[in-house]
Amino acid sequence: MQPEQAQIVDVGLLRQIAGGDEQALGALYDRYRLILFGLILRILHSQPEAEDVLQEVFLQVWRKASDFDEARGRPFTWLVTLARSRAIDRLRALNARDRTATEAAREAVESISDAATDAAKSEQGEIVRSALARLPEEQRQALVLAYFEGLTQSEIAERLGTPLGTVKTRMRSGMIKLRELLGERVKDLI
Amino acid sequence: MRGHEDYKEMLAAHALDALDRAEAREMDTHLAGCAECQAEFDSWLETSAALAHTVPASEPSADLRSRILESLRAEGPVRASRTAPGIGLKVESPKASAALDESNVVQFAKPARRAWSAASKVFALAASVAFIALIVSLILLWNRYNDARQDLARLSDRLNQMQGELKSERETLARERQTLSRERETLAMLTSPETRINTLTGTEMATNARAMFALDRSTGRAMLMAYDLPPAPEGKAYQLWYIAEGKPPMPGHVFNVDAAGHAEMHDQVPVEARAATVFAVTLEPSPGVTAPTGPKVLLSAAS
Repeated sequence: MQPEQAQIVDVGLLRQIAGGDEQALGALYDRYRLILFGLILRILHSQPEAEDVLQEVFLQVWRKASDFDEARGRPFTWLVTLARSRAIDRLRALNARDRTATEAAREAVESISDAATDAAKSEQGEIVRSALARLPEEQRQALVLAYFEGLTQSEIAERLGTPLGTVKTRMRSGMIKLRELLGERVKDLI
Repeated sequence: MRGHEDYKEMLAAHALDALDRAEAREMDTHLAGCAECQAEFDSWLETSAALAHTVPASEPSADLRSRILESLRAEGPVRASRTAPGIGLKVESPKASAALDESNVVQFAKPARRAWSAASKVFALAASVAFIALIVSLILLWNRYNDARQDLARLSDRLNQMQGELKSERETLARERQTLSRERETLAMLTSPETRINTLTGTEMATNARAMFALDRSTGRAMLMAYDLPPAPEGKAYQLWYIAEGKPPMPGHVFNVDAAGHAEMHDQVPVEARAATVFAVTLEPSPGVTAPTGPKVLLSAAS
């Protein structure tokens, strides 16, 4: 399917879901479960927690499908934003419960982030990975710590022992550079 | 107090949920009233969502799909949205959804759009809705069609299996009918008033062998039951003879025995042989001969 067609299909599925069509939700699940589960698993590092969150995400889609507005963005962006937000919520709740586990998880995250960067699994993944790889190391690090570990700019500054202003600049420059590198291709990333 | 330009600077970080809680709430308030920032924020979300592609895809448990669909049923029908349609991509900040009551979640304002003429807008909307509905219906129909096709394939397999079973039952039944009808004929023959039963005993060639020979003189139907006959050597077979007084022996059927030395042979005896009084079995070349050449193996007493 071409990206434009895929988007039309997804928008249609979301409308059907808003109308209460369970089969449409099943179809949307079939289309996005792999990438969303990969993302959530990357953030939580636990199969049962990740499955629980993926279930929450699709329940949320079921309840909120009517809020989706295609003029504001693509279904892909909406779903990924929702899934990441739920996963980070869960990560923070788990961290608050168990500080020791947090430390272990951080180490795991750092080792796995390299592996994920190396693993070329799809053409789309390759486009984003190579764009990310072209960022200066400290900018990439700021984006990855925020995106996959849910750290705020202040938390990153504290973690790295870097002034907050520097972290803010790195994050903003990193995002601008990433947007530039992805260019128009960002629309084709489904 | 921050100004518009300050917020603009912070949009990229907000798309990564990296602002501190207080900053994030201020930002959401600003976005609700600033279409320009809202539109730029939406485009930053595209960039941050692209990062999901850097992670390898992963397959959840196979039963998760059905668990989700079941939980929808528990949930009941979708509630009518409390927000007006078109308001939109309501992205809850993690901090907000974790820490705040849902009523505090800021609704993002609808961004300014290019003004279209009312007619073209309505037409474009109607066309895109119709097209999307068509595509979605096709996908759903295709899924249903595939499900139905799989059901049909399963049913067809089952039908083939049952047809096979029926066929083998029919064959068994046909065999049993045949056996039954043979047994009826045998019984009719044995109980006919015209039937004479003779006993044959083994000669020195087969001392343990014995046989019973029944012949219905009116119809010519005959049956020989032999026991404890040794198997005929390679190229040889047993042959029955009808011997009437003053005539050369008349040839009957050729037969062989099973591993237990048992044979059951049916014959239709020609009219000229029905007057025979003596019956004998000899060992002959397997196709049978017209006059006996081999040794007698079984012989009846003259009746």
